[in-house]
This record gives sequence, C-alpha cells and structure tokens, in this order.
Amino acid sequence: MTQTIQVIAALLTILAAGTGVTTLLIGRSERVGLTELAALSWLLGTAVVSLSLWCIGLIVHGAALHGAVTSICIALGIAAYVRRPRKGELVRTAGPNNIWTTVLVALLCLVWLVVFWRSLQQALGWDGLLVWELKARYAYLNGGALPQSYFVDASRAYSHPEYPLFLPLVETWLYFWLGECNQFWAKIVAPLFFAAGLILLTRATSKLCGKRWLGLLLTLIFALLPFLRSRLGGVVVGYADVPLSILYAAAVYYLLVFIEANSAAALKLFVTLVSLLPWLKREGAVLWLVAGCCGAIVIGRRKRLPTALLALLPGLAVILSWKIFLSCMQAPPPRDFAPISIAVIISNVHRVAPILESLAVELLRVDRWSVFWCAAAIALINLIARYRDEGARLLLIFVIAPVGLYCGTYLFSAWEEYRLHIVTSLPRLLLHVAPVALLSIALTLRQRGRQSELPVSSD
Amino acid sequence: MTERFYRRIQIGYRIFWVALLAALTAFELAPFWADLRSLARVLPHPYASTDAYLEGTIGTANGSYRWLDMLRRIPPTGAIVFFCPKGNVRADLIYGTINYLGWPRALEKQEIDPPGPGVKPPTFNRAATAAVIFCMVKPPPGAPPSWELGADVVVIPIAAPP
Repeated sequence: MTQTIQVIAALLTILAAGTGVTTLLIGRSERVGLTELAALSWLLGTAVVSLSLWCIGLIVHGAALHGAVTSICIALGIAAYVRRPRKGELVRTAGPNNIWTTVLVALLCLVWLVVFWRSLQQALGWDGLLVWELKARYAYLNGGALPQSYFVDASRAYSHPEYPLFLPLVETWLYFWLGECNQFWAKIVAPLFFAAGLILLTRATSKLCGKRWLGLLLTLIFALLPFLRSRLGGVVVGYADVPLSILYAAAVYYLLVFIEANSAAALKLFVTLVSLLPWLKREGAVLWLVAGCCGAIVIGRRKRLPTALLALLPGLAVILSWKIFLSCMQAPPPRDFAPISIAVIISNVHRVAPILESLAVELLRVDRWSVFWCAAAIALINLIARYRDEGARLLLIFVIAPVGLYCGTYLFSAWEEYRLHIVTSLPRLLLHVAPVALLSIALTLRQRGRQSELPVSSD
Repeated sequence: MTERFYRRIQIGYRIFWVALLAALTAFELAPFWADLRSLARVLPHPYASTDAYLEGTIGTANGSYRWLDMLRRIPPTGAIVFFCPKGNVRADLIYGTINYLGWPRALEKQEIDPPGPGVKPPTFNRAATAAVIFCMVKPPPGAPPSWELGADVVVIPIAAPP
C-alpha cells in the first residue's frame, strides 16, 4: 500500500511537470481537451524528468538531485495552475455521445486494462531488463546518475551503454520515490505510454477520418494488434519501441494540425515531440531526421526560413549533447553496425534481396500483425492517388522513409549472421511506424470533400 | 448514369473497407481472448523479472536473493570469474542475469571449449580471484567446497588471503 502511494506521488510529479510544459507550449490563445492534456502531460512530463535527472545529475546526486527535480516538477505544476483557462474557457473533452461510442470507449479501456495487467504479470523482456531497467537500477544505486565506470565496463557492454536515457531515468524516478530498485513497478511505465498513445491516436484518427466512432474503432483495432502484447517488443516487455512509436505518431499528428490550421501551438508541440525522439532510442534519430526535415520544409513554406531551421535545433542539440556525453564517458562505439562507407555498401549489396524478403515475410505475419499492413498498404496506395494533398504526401513519406532507412541499415550490420539481426529487430522497427500507418488508414477513410477539423482547440 | 456508377463504386469501396477491418479484427480476437483468459493475480516483488529468468534457466526459486546473499559472502576484493561453454545461449542468459545483479562488481566471463582431447581444464589466477562460478561446466577435481546456485551452476568462493 505504501509503495502504491509512493508510485502515485512519482506519477503525479511527472504529470505536474508535463501539464506545466504543455500549458506553456500551448499558451492562452489555444486550448486542448482534458484527455489530450493528460496524454501530452505524460509524454512531456517524462521527458522533463529524464532530461532534468540527466543534466542535474552531472552536478549533484542522491537526495539533492531528487529534491531539485521535484522542485522543477512542482514549479511547472504551479505555472500550469497560474496559466489555467479562466472560468468559461475550460475545454471539456466530449464524452461518448451515443451507445456506439460508449461501447467503443469501454472496449478500449478493457484492452488497455488487459495489456496493463499482462505487463504486471510477466517478466520484463530481455532488453527491457538488461538494456533499459539495468541503467535505471545502476543510476539509482549511484545516486541518480550513471557512473563513468559503467560506460567502460566491458563485462556489461551487452547492455548498450550508448543507448539514451529517457526510459531508464523515468524508471529511476520511480525508484527515487520508492526508495529502492523495483523491477515490478518499473513495468508500469510502458503501459502508461500506451495509454497516452491510445488517447492521442483516438483524437488523431477521429479528426483525420472525420467521425469519432470510426476513430475509436480504428484505435481499438490497433490496440488489439497481437504484436503489441507479444514478448518480441510489445508493451508487456518494457522496451523503448512502444514509447518511440507513440512519440513519433504524436509529432506527425501535430505537424498535420499545423498544416491544416496554421496553429502556433501545434507547431510548438511538433518541434518539442520530434526533438525528443533521439532521446528515447538510437533509432529515434532516424525518425527525427525524416520528420524533422519534412517538418522544416513544411514550416519553411508557411513561416520564414530561420523559423524552419530553428525547429531542427532542439533535436540536433539532443543528439549532439548525447554524443558529447558519451565521448566524455569514453563509452565504446556501438558494435552492431560497421561504419558507413561506399565500400561496405558495395561489399554487402547481396543482402538487399534477403532484407526485402524478410520485410515482406514480416509484413504478412498474420499472427503478429493480423492484416494491418495489408490495410496500411491499401491506404498508402490510396494516398499516392491523392498525392497533391500535402497531409497525404507527408503520411506516405513518414511511413515509407523510416522503413527504407531501417532496411538500409542492415547493409551495415556487423553481426556475424546478419539475417538473425534482421529477424530479431525488424518487427520492433516496424512498430515505430505502425501508429502513423494507422493515421494513413484514417485519412483514407475520410470522405472526399469533407472539411478538416484539425485545430488543437476544436475538441 | 455516371452518378449511379460512381455511387456504386463508393458503396463497393465502403464494403471493401468494412470487410478489411472485419478481417483485421477477426484475426486479433483469438489471441486477445487467450490473453484475457490467462490473467492471474500478481504480487509486487522487487526482483520479479530476475527471479523469473533464474527460475527458467536454473530452476531456482528466489534466485536473486540467493545470489545476492552469496555475493555478500564472497571476499570484497578480487575478480569473480564465470566459466561457461562457448556459444551457449542458456549460459549467456544466466551470465547476463547474475552479472546484472552483481553491480558494482563485474563478472569476468571465460568461455571454454567442450571437454575433449587436447582441451585444457579451466584455469584462473587464484591470488587475484575472489570467486569462481562454473556454469554448465564441471569444476576441476579437488576444487574447494562450493555453493549451488541452481541446476548446473556452482559458486566457489576463494578464501581471502590473510
């Protein structure tokens, strides 16, 4: 019971920080619904906590670090309260308005509860434990910051010291409040990202297809995907792939809102969310490159060039800071990939056919994905037909470009058996773009000629 | 005529998507139902995952506490050497789990070839070693008394020099 209260306290500080950042980003001119605010608060609050722990942890450790980060969370929570909407401005998320939406919301809650319970019931996945939770544990045991000895420890090189610390430091935050490392409570983090993702996906799909019930249905179908509950990389194993896919989809959605409504709040949310991608996982840099570059072009067309370049700056700062930190810690370079060069491409060009074959086999795995990728492929073909629509064009790029780049990286795989590398990682990489593929299905189902209802404030 | 034709196409398009989404859901329901039926009571435990891995690999219940207790009794200085067969996935899982728990101490992994003619038995520098773990490898004859962590895993503490 005491532990439950401690965990709730940790989660409330995260939400307070997230609400503060969301409110500051959105400003007073635009508003969001309560569920959307909660989802954004989780995504941005976890980012604030992990980045604060990392930065302040370079200077102070232990209780001082815990106190400093708690103060930041409370200060942001107070900022959110001060800037709260005045009476009469409060936006309430529209509740279920008929029997069908009520049933769909109830089913969505049921699916989330099952996933949440399964997560608590099962052990963390191998990478969830030895790549992500391991860092959280060692950071906590060292007062909140990973010691330099960890980065140069050859016996723990399997834990990928070069991976960024977003997820591990969120778990460390729970440990600070619990007063001990606890593999059980660490398992609640991924389902909470999943909950935030379902809320944002419901909102995005409803707006894109123009019907609330259809948006709910699409999100429910997505939540039921067997892969999301599998031990290969779903919610239950505690890997960074689910949170990464949700951040990516959220960034893409707010870029689409910006395109439709020219909303300053959506632009700020897009820039913030897209900048967090490299902080979550190494592959996040690939997603940042795709979404960031496309976003910069879109912004450049609507605003001035410096604004577009400024939008890329936070993400670039995250990538460079992490590189500099790793080099200061003398962390060994990643061993999974050979350095990029033309010679490597030429010598490994024979891998192209097996890579494409593995991709096709994975996309057609009914036991993992049902027929989701078939539906996504049909939707993407439909989007090609609508290529003049900027939103459709971007969704097409946001699904296809990362998959192409991911497949390209296998040309540089340094694994002795590169096919094993593909088999073990490709399903998780596809998960990164799956929510965006769902958005493309939603856009396909929008009736032609229907007016868009994308502005942030229109709840 | 043209309007009717387009209307039919539109209806066909809708039917196609309804069928596709129905197929999508149909394939998803069976695994979800299996998950729903497998829900059971959960008990919070700080070593929930490492215990599950140790139970699965060496059949030891409460393996994490057991290993941490052994670690406390091993001399605080000196290396801990982990001998295991070369390229064995089970040994890798055991090594990963107990090395994870062993922080800040590091386990020095030494993979050895399967026993056979010309293959030397495992050796280590006794003076610089705090403990030796034999995982799926037989300890050499005459080795000091050992603690059993689980099936195929024995820990031999080396007495600290006076």
